[in-house]
Amino acid sequence: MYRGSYRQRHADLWPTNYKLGMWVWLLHRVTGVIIALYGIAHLLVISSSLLNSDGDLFEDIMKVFENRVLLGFELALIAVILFHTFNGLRVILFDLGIGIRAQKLLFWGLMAVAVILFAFAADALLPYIRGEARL
Amino acid sequence: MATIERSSAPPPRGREEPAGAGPGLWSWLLQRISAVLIAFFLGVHMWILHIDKVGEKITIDRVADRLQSPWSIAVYAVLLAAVLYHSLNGILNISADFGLGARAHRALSWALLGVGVAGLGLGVATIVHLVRIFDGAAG
Repeated sequence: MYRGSYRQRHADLWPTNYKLGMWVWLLHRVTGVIIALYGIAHLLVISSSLLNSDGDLFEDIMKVFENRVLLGFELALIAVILFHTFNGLRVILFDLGIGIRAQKLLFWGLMAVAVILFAFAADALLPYIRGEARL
Repeated sequence: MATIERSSAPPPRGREEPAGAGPGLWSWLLQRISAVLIAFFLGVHMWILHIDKVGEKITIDRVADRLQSPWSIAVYAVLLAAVLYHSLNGILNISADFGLGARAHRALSWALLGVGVAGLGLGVATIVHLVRIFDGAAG
């Protein structure tokens, strides 16, 4: 009954044996949590404008986000959001019964669209991240 | 296969423990509807704030100016509500997959609802504030 190593007995739980769909499912949840945390932080930052009416504090806080490292994180966040958006679109299409037999093709097709949109974002942001352009 | 751990506490009398403390039909449907709203309005948000204005500093005047038309106020109000619902309900769904018992699921639902109401209040207050200061500043 209990023959073989842990890895053999639990082959279906071993990460290197995950099928694409398992990774995508996991990544959808991980990206979802990241975006939820960003959303809360974003709401708190923007609502700081409530604290003074001339907007000086808000603009000081906005200056913090001109930091190149933070801009790099923002570009990474765009990748995270694009993955979650376009994989989410596949999930909705699946629920509607569209493309069920072509899941892999649909997934990679939607990821291709996400990559193209990411390229636009990278093109706009990279000069600022590299320090070649300044606000 | 791993078995799902359940709360050892008995469910309150008269309330059956659900088969799985997972999303119900309305939660599932609203999660999809909010997803589509966010995909669309977040695209609008990114376009008008960033893509169309690359290299421009974000100032309080720009933010307030953006909130002048009733349409953009509606867009941001819908985006705020949809993002809060989708993210907090998503956290609830993920937590349910870790095998929360019915009581813990209910407690987490109320806690997340509290976070959502607080976030909605803070967001609406911010939108109202930004609409007001533009009127005061530009006359």
